[in-house]
Amino acid sequence: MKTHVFYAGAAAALLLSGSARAEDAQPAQMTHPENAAAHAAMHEAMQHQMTAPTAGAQLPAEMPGMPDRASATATQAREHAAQEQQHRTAARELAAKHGAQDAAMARGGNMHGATAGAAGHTGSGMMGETGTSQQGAGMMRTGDMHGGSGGMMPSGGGMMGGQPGGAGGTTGGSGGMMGGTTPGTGTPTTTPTAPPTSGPASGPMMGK
Amino acid sequence: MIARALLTLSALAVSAGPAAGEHLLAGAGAFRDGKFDAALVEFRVAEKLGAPEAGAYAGAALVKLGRAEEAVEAFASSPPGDDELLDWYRAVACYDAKLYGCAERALAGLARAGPKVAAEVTRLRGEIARVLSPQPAPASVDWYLARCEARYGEGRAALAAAYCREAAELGGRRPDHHGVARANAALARVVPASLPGSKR
Repeated sequence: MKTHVFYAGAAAALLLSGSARAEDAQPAQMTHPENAAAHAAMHEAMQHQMTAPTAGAQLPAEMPGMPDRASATATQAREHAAQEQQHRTAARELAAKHGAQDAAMARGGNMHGATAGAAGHTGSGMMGETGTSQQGAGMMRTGDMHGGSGGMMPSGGGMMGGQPGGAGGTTGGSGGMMGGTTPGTGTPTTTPTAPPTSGPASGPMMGK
Repeated sequence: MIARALLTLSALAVSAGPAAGEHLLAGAGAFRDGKFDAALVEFRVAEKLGAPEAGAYAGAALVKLGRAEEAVEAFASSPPGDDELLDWYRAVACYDAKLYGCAERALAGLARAGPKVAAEVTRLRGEIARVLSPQPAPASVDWYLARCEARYGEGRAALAAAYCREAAELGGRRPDHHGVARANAALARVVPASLPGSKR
């Protein structure tokens, strides 16, 4: 019995050492028949999935470090551009506001003098109680066209032009009258080239 | 009877046993069906049960799941050169982790691969050559060094070593050898920790 146990032990030891050597010589996956079948199945599966899309992988290669810096620079540039855009928009709005104010002030100052200066922007002075600023501007423009100052100037000018004309006529008339009386006095200084005047007609009468 | 018991014992000592094989088979089936998360679980179980190849299979599943750094760690436990397909997945893991030198080494070993693999190898090597052709910037070397130190700090020594090797290689291609001394010093610390059985 002891001998049999000894033989069995020796055989097992031989098996162990032999299998250990076999493990060294062969790839690890071939150690068990079932593992070999699994390896074949996995081999086929890996080949099958080889070109299938992978979750977020195999993107175009890029050297790290550089893209991070580039993206940081791009972000800074975008932020800077956005700030610049905001500044430009604010400046444009401010300029438009000032321009409208200046335009309104200029119109009010030229046409309506001192009274339009303060009230001209809103038109309240011109509009009275119901005026809004837009309506005021409209009324101011209307006033510019038809109001007292602009409208008055042409008509006033016409009137003024008429007055000097009238005055001239009057002067001329009086002058004629004056001329008529002068020869009547028999003044020898009267030139013979003055027939239009009434002098000679009256002169002989007066001289007779 | 004793002999039979001894024979059974010796058979168990030789391989991971049928249980591991079943999990490997289940994992392979799930992998083929595109169920990579299920495949990963099966391979992890098989690995625990002692199937040595299960680590690399888990690496392949991790590649398909887009978990490149974990895949690099999984492949670190098995040497390249045993299986062309596994080496392909190893290369993709390195590539996706931006370890282009590591990927190039793995792909170079696939020169005599079949036509399907060879086409993919050519495509990927072209991408790598494009990235590696200019002189590496110091910022790039520093990025790998920072990764190395960060991963070492997380206790992932194998991954840290891969990043440090990459930093040393890239720095060595610069005239000023930027970062090479630092990378080598880090490797001297990291590599012993990355060896199997060592614990940090």
